Amino acid sequence: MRSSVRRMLYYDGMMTHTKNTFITAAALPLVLMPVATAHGSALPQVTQQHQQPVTRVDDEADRLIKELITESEESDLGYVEAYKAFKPKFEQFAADHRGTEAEVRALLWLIQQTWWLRAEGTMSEAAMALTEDLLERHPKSKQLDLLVEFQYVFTKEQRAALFGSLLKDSPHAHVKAAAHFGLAKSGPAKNEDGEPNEHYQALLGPYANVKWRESTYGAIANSYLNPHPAEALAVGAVAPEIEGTNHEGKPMKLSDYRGTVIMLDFWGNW
Amino acid sequence: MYPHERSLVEKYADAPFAIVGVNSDDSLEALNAAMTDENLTWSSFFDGGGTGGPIAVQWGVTGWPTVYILDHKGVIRYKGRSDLDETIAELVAEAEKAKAGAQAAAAGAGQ
Repeated sequence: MRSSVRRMLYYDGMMTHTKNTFITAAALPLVLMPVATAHGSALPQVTQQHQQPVTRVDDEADRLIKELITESEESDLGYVEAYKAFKPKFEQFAADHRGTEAEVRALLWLIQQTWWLRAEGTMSEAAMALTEDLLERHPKSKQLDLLVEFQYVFTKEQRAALFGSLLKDSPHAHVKAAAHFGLAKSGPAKNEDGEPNEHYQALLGPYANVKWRESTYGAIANSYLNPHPAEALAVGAVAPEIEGTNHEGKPMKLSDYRGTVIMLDFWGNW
Repeated sequence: MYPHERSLVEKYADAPFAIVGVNSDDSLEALNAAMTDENLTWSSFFDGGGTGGPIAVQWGVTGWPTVYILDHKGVIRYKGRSDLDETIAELVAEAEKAKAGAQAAAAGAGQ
């Protein structure tokens, strides 16, 4: 049930969270590792002689896994207790639906939730074991972009290798774009000449129109490359313009409100 | 916080004051549902469908809610999460004074 009193959403350095769900924060400190990339939307050359496994879509299983995720999110248990209670259910689901995108989603939930093992020091090891199994059996899954969303469970070195392999092996533009995004943020955004790093260039170029949530990779890359400097957001500064769209998709601008006092409210219905 | 915002909208219904949201919900459907369910009358930018959207990133917002108060010239006068009421009252008075001043000047020029 939604409460009419808003919950505070907070950012703990790795991710933002509220109650039993968590949302990846976009800004994660990563280390840039050189990775051979295949730019453009061309499919990667398949070098393996054996046939790669294909992940099936099963609508009924998709419905069931969504229900299970919702159930876990709405649980009244604490984070760690909820993870422990639901882990066997997701494992069973994955076993019962092998070879489907629904299984992939269950495995991705298990990977994401290894976050709750971090206090025990086994998070990244557990996450990587699950991920290796996932990538071996479902290299062409269309949901592997979620590995970038859930990147906080991996070490820096694991991330670099993982995103590199997604770039190389995934046939999907949205998975490759996500991998570029993870890699783009892992190093300096721009070089000495002010040029965006190669991954941001990919996001501004061939992947600019690929959907990122309800926006595009081009738009999100642009915002990372052009953050407002602190002095532009300080008390006494003229607020930077915001141009965007409203709840109906209609264009709106902050400067439309010039002449009135504005309470600019960053909010969400959490 | 919605009741507080609604009370501000009511209090300043006839004054130069507006709430402008930057919404980080997951979807337009979620934003529209929130507006309907909570009876929200003010406009919001839809920020890409999640935290870490383009506007929040450009503005360096990592906690929600985050509030800026801008005066009638668009100058940032306050940034934070509490004690908004005093700042708003002060700035609305300033905006009204500026408007009255501009009208008086226009009337003077017309004579």
